Amino acid sequence: METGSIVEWLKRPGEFVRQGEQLLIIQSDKAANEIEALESGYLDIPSDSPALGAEVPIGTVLGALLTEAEALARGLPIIAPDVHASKTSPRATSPKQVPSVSATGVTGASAVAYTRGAERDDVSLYREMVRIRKVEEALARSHQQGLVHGACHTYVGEEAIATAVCANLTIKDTIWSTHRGHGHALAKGVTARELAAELFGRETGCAGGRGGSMHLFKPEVGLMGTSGIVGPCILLATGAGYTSALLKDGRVSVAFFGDGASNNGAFHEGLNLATVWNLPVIFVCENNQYATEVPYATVSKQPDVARKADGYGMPGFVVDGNDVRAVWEAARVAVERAREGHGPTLIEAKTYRTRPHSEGMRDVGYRSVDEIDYWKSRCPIQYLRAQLVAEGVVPVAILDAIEHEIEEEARDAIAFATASGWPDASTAADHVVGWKAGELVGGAVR
Amino acid sequence: MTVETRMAQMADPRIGSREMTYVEAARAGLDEEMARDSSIFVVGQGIGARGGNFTTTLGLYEKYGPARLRDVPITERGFVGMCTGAAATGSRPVVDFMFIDFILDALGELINQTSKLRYMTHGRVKVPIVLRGCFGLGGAAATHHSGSYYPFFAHLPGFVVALPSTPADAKGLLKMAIRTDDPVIFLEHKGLLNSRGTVSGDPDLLIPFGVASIRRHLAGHGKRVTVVAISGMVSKVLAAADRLAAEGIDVEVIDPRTIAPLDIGSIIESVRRTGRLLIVDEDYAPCGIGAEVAAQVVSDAFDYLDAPIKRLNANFTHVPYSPPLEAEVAISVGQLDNAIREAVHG
Repeated sequence: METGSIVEWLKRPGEFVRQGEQLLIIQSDKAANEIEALESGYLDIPSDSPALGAEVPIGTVLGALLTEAEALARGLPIIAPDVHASKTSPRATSPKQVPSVSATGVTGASAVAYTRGAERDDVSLYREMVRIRKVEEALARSHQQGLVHGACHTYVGEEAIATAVCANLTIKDTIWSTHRGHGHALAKGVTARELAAELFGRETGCAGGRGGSMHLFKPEVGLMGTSGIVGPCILLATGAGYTSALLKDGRVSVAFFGDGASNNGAFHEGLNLATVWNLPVIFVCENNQYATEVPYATVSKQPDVARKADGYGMPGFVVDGNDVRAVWEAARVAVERAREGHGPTLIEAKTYRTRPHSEGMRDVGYRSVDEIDYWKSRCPIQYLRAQLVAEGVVPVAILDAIEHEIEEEARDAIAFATASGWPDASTAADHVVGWKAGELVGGAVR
Repeated sequence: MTVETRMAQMADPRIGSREMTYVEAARAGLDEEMARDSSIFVVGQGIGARGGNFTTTLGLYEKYGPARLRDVPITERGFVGMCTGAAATGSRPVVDFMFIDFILDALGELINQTSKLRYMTHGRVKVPIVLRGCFGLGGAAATHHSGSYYPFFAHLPGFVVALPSTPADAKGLLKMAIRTDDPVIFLEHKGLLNSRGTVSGDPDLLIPFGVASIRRHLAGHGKRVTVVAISGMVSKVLAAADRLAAEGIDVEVIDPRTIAPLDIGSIIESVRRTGRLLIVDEDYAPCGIGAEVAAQVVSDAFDYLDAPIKRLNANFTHVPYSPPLEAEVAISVGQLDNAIREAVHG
C-alpha cells in the first residue's frame, strides 16, 4: 500500500475519542479499513487535511488527537467526553449526514454555498453573554429574597446560544422560546429592566406583569413569546415562517427549544411542515441533556437530535453550544439559507445548565457534582474571554470594563423593578378578546 | 334601534341576492374575503385542487393557488399550531377540519396558544384565525365523525363559537369570523349543508357575534313558549311549531347564532313574553348550552318564569353507525313535539 483515501470520518472535529474507538475509514487499493484511535483525545481535522476521496501517499497527516487545552487553543468546537455513564455518548457519526460546524468553516454539501455574510463582533457577543449571566444571577438572588414569584428557570451555562443566534437576526425577525427564555428575551432586545420588572410582577414588565419568568413577550422587537408548554414554539415559529413565505416579507423565524421538545410531536410535525413548504425557519435545539431532570440519553436512542433532521429532508448541524463562535457560524449559515429561500435548518447546540431546573428546586439525585463541575469549567463566557485574551485583539481592561458596566445594568434593573408599581388589578380581564358582542368589524362595512 | 335595523342601513341584503345552498353561501363568503384580503389562506385535507370534502373550497384553488389553499398532512396539532403562529405574525388562516372531530388532536395548541396569545401579550399580538368544520349526527358517519364538542370552546375565554343555521347566516357569520382579529370556531351541521335559502350578494353584509335571531315570532294566540334552538335544530323546531299551532301552542323560536358570545338578553326578553323556556340542542345535556342558558335565565329572569325550564338533547352516549341505532340517539320528531308540549303544559 502506497496511497489511500478517506472514505468517511466516524468522528466529528472536536469530538472526544477514546483509545481503541474507530476513528475513520480509509480505502486502499486492496480494501476499506477502519482505523482506530491509538490514544484518547479531541479530534482535530485541520483545514489542509485531505478531502474525502482524495488519493494521498502514506504518511500524510489526516488529523490529530489533542488534549482539551490544545483543542481549546485551536478553537475547536469540542464535544464533551462521556463523564456521566448515562449521558449522551459520542457515537460514530457520518459528517455527510450531520455536517459539523467549526470556527474554521462549514462542512457538508448544503452549507458550502453560504460562507460569506455578516461580520462577527466578538466583543458584542461577550457583552451579551455577560449581560444574560449577570442579570440572571441578580434575578436568582431576588428569587431567594421572595421578590420573584413563582417559577424562575435560568439559562446559566447556555448563554452562548441565544447570544449567537440573535446576533444574526434583525429586529423584524421573530423568535419563539421556552420556559427557559430569559436569555432569548435579553438577546432579542428586551431590556434588563423590562425583564426584571416582569419577574417581579410589575406593570413595567415586558408583559405588564401578566406573564412572569415563563411568559415573556415583546413583539415590538420580535420576541413573540416564551412558553410554559414544551413544544408549541416549534409550530408557532413554523407559522411565522408561513406568513413570511406568503407575504414575502423577508423575515426569518427561530424556535428555541430543549432536548425535551425533540421527543414531542410538535417537533416532528413542525419540522415536516417547515421542510415540505420550504419555510424560512431555524430550529435551535438547546440540548442541555436533561428534560427537566430526565436524562436525554434515557429517552432517546438517537444521541444527536440534529440527525433527526435528515428524516425530514432538512440539514442538521451539531455544534458546541458553549462555543459562541461555533454557534454564531451555524446560525449565520442557517439564517442565510432561510433568507435566500433554501428553507429551514436544525441546529443542535450541545450544552448544559449549571443551575437547577428551576430556582430553589432540589438539584440532586439525577446528576453528579462532578458532571456539574465539569460543565462549569466549560463556561461559554470564560471560554470566549480566554480566546480573546489569547488572541490578543481585545485588551483585558475592555473585557473587565464590560463586566463592571453590566453589573451596574443588572443592579439598575433590580432597582427599577423594585421601584415599579403593581399592575392595576382592574385590568386582570383585559385583552381576552378584541371584539364586542353585537359590533361589526372590518372597516369596510357600510 | 334594533340590530336588524342598523344592519339594514349598513348593507342591503337585496343586493345581488339569490337562492343558494348553505355550503355555497359559506363558500361565496370565503371567496369574497379571499379576493379582498391576500393575507387570508386556507389549510385542510383535500381543500386544494379537490375543493374540499364538503365542497367548502370548490373552485378557489384555481383562483388563489396553492399557497392560499394549502393541502396539509394529517397533523392537526401541527397545522393548528402553525396557523396560530401565522396569525400572530400578519396572515389570516382559515383551518378547514372537514369533520370537526379532528379538532380534538389540536386542543392543546388551541387552548394554550391560540386562545391565550392576545391576553398573554397584553393585547399586542392578535390571532385572527377561523377554525371551521362540519359536526353533528346524520348520514351514518359513525362514532368518529359525528361529534359536536362546541360547549368545550364556549366554556373557555378567548373563543367565538358560531353556529349558523341558514345559508345567509353561514355567509355573513363566516365573513365576520374571517375579519375578526380573534379565534373563531365556525361549525356547520352536516344536515344543513344542502339546505337552501336566499343569500345577499352584498360583499359587506356581515352578521355580528352575540346577536340572536328570532326565527318565529309569537302569533298572539294560544299557549306561549320560548324555544331556543341550536344550529340544525332551528329548522326542526320551526317545523314543530307549525305542527303544534293547531294544538293552540304559540312558539317563539330563538336562534342564538353564536353561543360565545351568547345573546342572553334576547332570550330573557322572549321569556318575559312567554314565561316558559325549552332549549333544544343536539349536543349532550350535561354542562351544555341548555344548562348555561337555564342557569342565566334563572339567575336574571326568575320572576318571569311560569314553569320549570326544560331541555331536550340527544342521548348521552357515543354515536353509533347503524341507521336505526343512530336514529335512537338523535332527537326525534316525536320527542321534539312532546318536549314543547311538556314545556307548555308541564
